[in-house]
Amino acid sequence: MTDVAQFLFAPAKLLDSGAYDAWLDLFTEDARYWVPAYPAQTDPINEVSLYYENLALMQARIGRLRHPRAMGLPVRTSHLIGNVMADGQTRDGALIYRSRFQMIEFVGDAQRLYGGGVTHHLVADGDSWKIRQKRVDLVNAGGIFDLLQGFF
Amino acid sequence: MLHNRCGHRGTLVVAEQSGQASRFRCPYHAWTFRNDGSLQSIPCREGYDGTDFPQNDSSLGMQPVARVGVYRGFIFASLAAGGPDLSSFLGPTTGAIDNIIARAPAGRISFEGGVFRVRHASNWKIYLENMHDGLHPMIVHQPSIEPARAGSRVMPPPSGSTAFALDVIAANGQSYQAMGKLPVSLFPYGHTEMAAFRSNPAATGQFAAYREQLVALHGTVETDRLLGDNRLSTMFYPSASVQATSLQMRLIIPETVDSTLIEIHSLRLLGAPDSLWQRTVTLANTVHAPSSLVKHDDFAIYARVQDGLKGDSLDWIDYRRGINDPSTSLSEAYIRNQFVAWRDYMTAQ
Repeated sequence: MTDVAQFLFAPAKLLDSGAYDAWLDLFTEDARYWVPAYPAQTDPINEVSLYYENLALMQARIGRLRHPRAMGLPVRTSHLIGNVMADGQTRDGALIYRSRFQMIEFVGDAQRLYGGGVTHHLVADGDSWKIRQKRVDLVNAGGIFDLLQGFF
Repeated sequence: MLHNRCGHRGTLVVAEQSGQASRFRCPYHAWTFRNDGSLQSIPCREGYDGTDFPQNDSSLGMQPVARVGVYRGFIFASLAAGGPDLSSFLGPTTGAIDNIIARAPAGRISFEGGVFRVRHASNWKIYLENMHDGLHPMIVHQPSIEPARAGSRVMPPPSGSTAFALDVIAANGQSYQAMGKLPVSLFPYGHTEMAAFRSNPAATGQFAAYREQLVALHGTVETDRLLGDNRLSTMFYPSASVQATSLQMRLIIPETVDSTLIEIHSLRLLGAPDSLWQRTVTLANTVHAPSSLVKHDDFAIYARVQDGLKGDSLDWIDYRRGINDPSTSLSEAYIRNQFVAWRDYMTAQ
């Protein structure tokens, strides 16, 4: 099996190079991409989130990121992933991995820094993995936000 | 409602966004104020011996704002002692609040689910001038309309909240002709209201049970009127807007000449099915959030307007459009209506 830490570096590289289709292929059909609006948020259904997206909504976001008339593009990013640690399993058998990330984003003339904790739910896929859920807990969740358009 | 300022050296007394307290204590020198703002205690009071420091006087308390009024639980404050009373000020805008509350089977609503706070690098007027702009969606939102349409065409087609979100995003792609049929109403004091692309969709399909709740309360005729009451956005000029159809409220908070803070609140119809609230949350995430595919292009345009206006090649901005037909979203009449109010405020004696 592919080493999990190695697997988690792959999506970062794909996002940083704008390979969004290959990035999306790393998710399961029923995957969720969740960025809570608040620290320690437990409910994505009854509370608002910055992102709570399935493949269809992620695909729509990617469509916008590729649109020639979208404002504020291209988004250039650099992800740094670390502190990857196993943290048990979900009830339906997905492996839980926790990690930290820092992402530098450059859009227009502005460079911004985002960071926080990431929780992946991973399921085996051949000799590698797929992501059933990616949860990103931004350190500035609950704060005042500027423009957000890409993925962390 | 109190000004958030200590009567001593001016410190911001409360930093929290929300909460409850039985008294307010300044974090600098521990001056303590009652909930009505009056000064309760100060340490080392004898230090004021020999001065005319007032013993029982509210002049050093947290000061009440000049006027406060309440309309059906919504609290409005004015920093001006003079001016119209709340009822005159609100005028027909109360229809949006009445409609939302009547759509709640329990007859009450609550602010729930969290708040988005977004900072725009532009003047507050630029935000308000886009409020009912039916000329921009098919242009500015093309980058989200096209992927949303494509997403709706995949097989099997998306369902539930995803289909709903994509549908709402795609709905920005209306023709000029369709936008020209969207009525905009102009009210006194700069307030305005715009109809939605469609009436409230909660009356159909999975929300039929909700409709039955309302029918039991109000009867069929009134229920159809309430659910058909078509209000996309109601502008409480210049500081709030209510999206009655999508159950959101935005507060517009100017910070500096080129910075505006927007708070986006979601409104829950108490007594309605959870599924209705969950759709409000989906709408908040996908259309109203700072991360929304739709909003991003709006924000970017506001900043571009702010930047472009730094040039002084022209003295005037042109708001003439639709002088003969001020009642649709293709007219800039709602902006002229805002400026009439602004002129009146700026020239009031």
